Amino acid sequence: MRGLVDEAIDGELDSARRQALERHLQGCPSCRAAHEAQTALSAAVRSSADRFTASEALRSRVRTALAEATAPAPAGARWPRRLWTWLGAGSAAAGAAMLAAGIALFLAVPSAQDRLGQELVAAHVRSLMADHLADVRSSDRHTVKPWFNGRLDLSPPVADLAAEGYPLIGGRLDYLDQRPVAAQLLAQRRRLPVAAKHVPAGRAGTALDEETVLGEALGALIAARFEVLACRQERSEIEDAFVALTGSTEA
Amino acid sequence: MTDPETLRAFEASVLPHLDAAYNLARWLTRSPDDAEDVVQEACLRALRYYRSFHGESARTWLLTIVRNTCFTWLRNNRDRQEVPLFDDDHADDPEDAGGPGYGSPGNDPETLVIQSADRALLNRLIGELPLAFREVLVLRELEDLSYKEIAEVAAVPIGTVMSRLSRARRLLQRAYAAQARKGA
Repeated sequence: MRGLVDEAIDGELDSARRQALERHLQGCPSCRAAHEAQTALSAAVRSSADRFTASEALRSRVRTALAEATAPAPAGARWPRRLWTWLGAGSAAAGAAMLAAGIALFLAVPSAQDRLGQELVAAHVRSLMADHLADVRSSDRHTVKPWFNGRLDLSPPVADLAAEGYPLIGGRLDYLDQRPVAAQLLAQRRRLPVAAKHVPAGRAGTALDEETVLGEALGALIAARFEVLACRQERSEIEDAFVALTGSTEA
Repeated sequence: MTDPETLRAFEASVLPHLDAAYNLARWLTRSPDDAEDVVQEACLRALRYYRSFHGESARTWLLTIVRNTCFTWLRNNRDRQEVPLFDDDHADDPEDAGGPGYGSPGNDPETLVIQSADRALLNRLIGELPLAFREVLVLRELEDLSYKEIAEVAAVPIGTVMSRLSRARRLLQRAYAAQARKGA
């Protein structure tokens, strides 16, 4: 009943449980006293505890810091266009570097992000070599998300794209730019779309093929407002693993 | 690497919650200067993460970042004793099991009804609550967050929010009653 008292004070009780509590309080002086005291305490805290406010100095300090952090903005293309640029450039560069491992795609626009993209691809390739794709394996985002919670500064969003055909397979921490970042792993359980079959054996796919094959999954991620920095496709497998990075990766 | 448009959107959605951010940081760090540093750092982090913000509640989102920044800050700058204190396993102290006077409203400090609060005393006692309890109390009573929102900010299950909040109130109630009795 003590728990209900708190919930009642906090307005978290539904009407059925509220009525049950009220009935109980009528017959229980001890709980009634506790209820009264807790209500008074809550009211006292609300009315008498300090609620500090940000000073003008702090406000302007924050604005200045934000403006400074924003200053070196690159000629920013919007998301989808940038994505296709990476896809094109990525497949060309990756063809040489990572033919054996599959196709890796990375950012090709600003140089800092380019480096991050390579770091990310390398991290992912390493994880596949070590057979350590996921730190937490679960198709339930309510399992994956809390797992990240304790390990990152920020709890990243975990998208549910199962309905789009990309069930979650788990999550992993990567280190990028000396910071831990979240990698959400999705599997595509369907066979590769028809377009992939046009890729001649032993050759990396052309940009067009990549767009066709990967566009669907990445499009779904972007629709879910993910920041997709790199993805990797295992052609030998029915399952394609995609890595979506959430949160910031800016240098 | 944020374009001016993003910065404007960020400022419009996030900066209105700067008071809430500062209040939380102030209660967690217990220092005006530290709280300002934490808020600035948190805002910069928030800007970096802005793309991953899904537009639910900007306030809850910002408070989550402030909270995490505070904890990182406390870990790096303070005595280790200050930090975790998420010792829910030991949350039930012997008094809870039925100390003297429990169940008899007359003597139970938990049933002292605060009529007109001693403002300074109340503030001091809240400040002295262990971090994990202070945090949920401030989020609930001063920021008026729901259990669900507190769970999000503090990255704990709702059940934990409830037990911590309940515990925070009992600790505060007891401490207040003890002081009030001493003063009387």
